[in-house]
Amino acid sequence: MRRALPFAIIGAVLVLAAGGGLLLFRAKYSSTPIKIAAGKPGGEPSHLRGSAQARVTLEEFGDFQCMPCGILAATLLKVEHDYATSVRVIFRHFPLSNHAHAFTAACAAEAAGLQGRFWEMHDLLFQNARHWSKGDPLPFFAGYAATLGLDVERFKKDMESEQVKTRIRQDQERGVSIAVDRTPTLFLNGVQVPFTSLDAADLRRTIDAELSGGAPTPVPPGPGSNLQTPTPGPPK
Amino acid sequence: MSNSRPAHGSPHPRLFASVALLSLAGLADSIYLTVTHLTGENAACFASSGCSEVLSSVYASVGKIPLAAFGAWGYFAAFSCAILAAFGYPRVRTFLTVIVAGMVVTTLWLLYVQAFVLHAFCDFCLISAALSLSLSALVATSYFIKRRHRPAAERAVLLES
Repeated sequence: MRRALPFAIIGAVLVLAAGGGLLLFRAKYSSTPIKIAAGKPGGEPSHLRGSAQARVTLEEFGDFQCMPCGILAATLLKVEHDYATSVRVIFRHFPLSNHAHAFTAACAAEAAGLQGRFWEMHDLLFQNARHWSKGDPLPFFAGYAATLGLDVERFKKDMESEQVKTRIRQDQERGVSIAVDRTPTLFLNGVQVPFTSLDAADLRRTIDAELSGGAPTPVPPGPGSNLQTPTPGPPK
Repeated sequence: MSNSRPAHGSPHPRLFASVALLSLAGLADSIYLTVTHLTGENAACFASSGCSEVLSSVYASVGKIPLAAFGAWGYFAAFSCAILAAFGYPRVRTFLTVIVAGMVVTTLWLLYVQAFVLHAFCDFCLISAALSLSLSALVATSYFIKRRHRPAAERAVLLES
């Protein structure tokens, strides 16, 4: 009996660890992808990059201080380039409270957007997140604004404006209304892409499947959408 | 095979019980990190600010397998060996030493990566580092105690014969 006891303890811990891990996984991960049936509209006009005729719309809820979002941004840039006229990307702000500078970074992107350079700032913020996420990010943001040739004083003023903050909150409210609870969350024609399929190869496979059999995207851009054509690479 | 059977009790069961408890804590930490990685959730740091940066880096996974999953197996193996050692199985001490040595080497490498490559620290990784370094200290102590007590044990054997 005593000889069996250590093995019983080890077996019990194995079962508890596996069971606990599984329960935690199930609590954190819904196997049923979210489908956007309704939900709040989010900030308008939406930040949209790609062809207006695209059959695939990728809507991302992202946080500039979230590193997986930065990885996804690079992946989406390649995807947009490769599927030039078939794919378009919408970016929605979803700054997480545990990221100290995420909201400020979203304000920087929106302020740049008011001068017509949202996507350029979006790319710069993701590419340089490692630098600005430590310490005071404002000098970095002002530097990026200058690099993009923006009116820096206006940019700084716009960053503080209620207009910019309201827009970010509207995007967040849209996310919450369709049960987004983490970043990055990506929707392909209104259906959530599992987090485990966000790498370039899996994403291409999903897009190809949609293009080969899917119906045209049900979400046409609004007349005022902030539509931009895909850029071949990050701004220098 | 005689030395794979339990001896007449472990010379220091409390020490191995401590190793087992620390391994359990490490197992819980690693499971949390593994699940966080697999579900794509951003682990929230409570003291540092680099959890997201560290856990989404290329160093956080081997292929598609989170590094934390290997850590979980390491802690579970350490726990199993510690329990068996506490119940007087002498041979498993060697396995425990090898496992803990591997964990310490990995820990030192990951600390280096966090400090000098990523310039960011993750609380849960630091907890794991502290646990594996504590495990190594305890395992080293078990050898020290073993050596100190060996003459007494040898004397006992002589008396019995």
